Amino acid sequence: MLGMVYKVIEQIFSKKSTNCFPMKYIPNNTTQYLNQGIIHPPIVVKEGFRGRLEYDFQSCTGCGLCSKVCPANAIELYSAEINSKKTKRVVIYLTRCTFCKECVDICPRNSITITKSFCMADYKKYGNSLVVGSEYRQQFEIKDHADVE
Amino acid sequence: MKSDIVYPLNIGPVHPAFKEPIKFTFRIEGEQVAGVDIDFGYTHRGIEKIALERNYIQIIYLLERVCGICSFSHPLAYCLAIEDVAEIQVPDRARYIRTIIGELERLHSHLLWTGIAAHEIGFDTLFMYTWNIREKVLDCLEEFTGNRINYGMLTIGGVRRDITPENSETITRMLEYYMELYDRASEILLDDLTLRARTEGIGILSREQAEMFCAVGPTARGSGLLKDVRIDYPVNAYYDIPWLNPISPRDIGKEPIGDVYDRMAVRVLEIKQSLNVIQFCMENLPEGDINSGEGAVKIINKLKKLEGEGIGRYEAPRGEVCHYVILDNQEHPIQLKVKAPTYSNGFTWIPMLTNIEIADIPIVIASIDPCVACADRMTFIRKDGAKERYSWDYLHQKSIQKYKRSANQ
Ligand code: SF4
Ligand code: SF4
Repeated sequence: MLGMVYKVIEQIFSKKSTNCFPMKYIPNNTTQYLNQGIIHPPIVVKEGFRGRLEYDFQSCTGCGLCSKVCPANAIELYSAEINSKKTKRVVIYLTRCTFCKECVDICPRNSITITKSFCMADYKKYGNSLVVGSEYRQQFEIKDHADVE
Repeated sequence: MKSDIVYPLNIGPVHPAFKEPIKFTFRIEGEQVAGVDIDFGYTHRGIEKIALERNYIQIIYLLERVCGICSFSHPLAYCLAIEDVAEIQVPDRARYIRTIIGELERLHSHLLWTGIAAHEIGFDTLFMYTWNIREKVLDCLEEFTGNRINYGMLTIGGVRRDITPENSETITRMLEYYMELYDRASEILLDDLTLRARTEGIGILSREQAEMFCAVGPTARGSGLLKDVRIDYPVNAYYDIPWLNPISPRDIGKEPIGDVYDRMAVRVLEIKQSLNVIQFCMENLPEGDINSGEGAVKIINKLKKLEGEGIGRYEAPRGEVCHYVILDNQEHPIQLKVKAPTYSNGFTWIPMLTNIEIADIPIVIASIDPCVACADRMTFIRKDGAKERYSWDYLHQKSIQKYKRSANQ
């Protein structure tokens, strides 16, 4: 019984064995904290793990193939104006994505790549951190009335 | 103990003992179950309907989510059905890789089931033990496919990722690990006195009853039916495996009577069989392509020009899955029918549950490895919220009417 009480007290004052969450609270450079034992190193994921998607706005041609094959309809095509030319670009909603890698395989310009990062938790479902490419959308999107007709 | 007092016992639809919503209404006499009524339909997700609005590639990923455990069997049956219509030849290497993933899935499903069965009879040490050793196959699957479940490996006409030399090393290590453990684990599962006491002679499904209810998978094999889609209608690499036979409790020298113990024995023996099949496939893995090399859009465009109907059958860990598709020159099928194993096995609960004691209900229910969400295919809800039941005759009439209408058009 006393042993148990002792254990509980020890647990209360010992250092935490979990990391801060969501991950954005963890500083980018964590090596200095590792030595002090403040955070735990990230889990090593296996080769071929499918995690967060990354999107290269410059090389995308707006062909829309990725949004056609995406099983979760997580890719949205919007009209954009770049260098005063009308074209299309995509945004990827990570909250809907199933990480199947179809879009990466289909993209003719390799504009979408898959990374091994799996720490995606955030408070806002449609916040910038969970919509890949949203910063470009804010900049380049045009409301295309021709589409509506 | 029998008694004159008869009272109803409702379990479900939402109950801590079940992982999925389903309702059982038992008629209890003393401690014994005198009758049972089963009510499906609380977790209908409309997958068949959703599939009609997606293209052929998107459906693969939708069907992976029919069942969390059989997340390879369902899309495989669908791909087989599509390949049947389009007459696509799957390359040899892809056939073998499909077999390996299918068997890895069977391995992890059966280990999961043994854990659940042990948990249902209160043998939690065994539950922890089997789930602990199950991690190895999940790790292997993760390395090989990228995910622990919902592998995303299939495409129409092949598979999406190849087995690299590192992967085959992992698989070989995993096989060694399980081969070493198998004797000890099977001894615990098949000879342990506590387990035998709780499973022998309980939940009996006789051979005739199994035939009558069209039981499939380990449930049928536990009752002595030699029925296995892998052998009866071979696909993938199963053609090439001459020694593959349906498992029966006779393999351990026991005449099957169809009790829970027999079903457990079948699953334990199938673990060994799966290991052997994986080993065979790894040793005889042919070289070559893993798919037709066409992109997803090309496949969709090709299927868009086809019409016809196809059927795909595959032995999932729980029994036969069967997918039926109709193509009609569109980007999506105009009909998709999914038949999950629990749809057949669900009815065998009635003879199994009759005349057992209340304490045995959980293990008997778990013994067919139910997956309720997979089996929920149709629900009718009237405007006032009450559920409506359509009889067989009514549905038959309806289908005749529909057929006549479309034939007249
Ligand atoms: S497939 Fe590639 S190039 Fe085409 S729209 Fe998508 S990201 Fe852009
Ligand atoms: S990984 Fe799959 S689900 Fe995610 S955006 Fe790409 S195609 Fe869609």
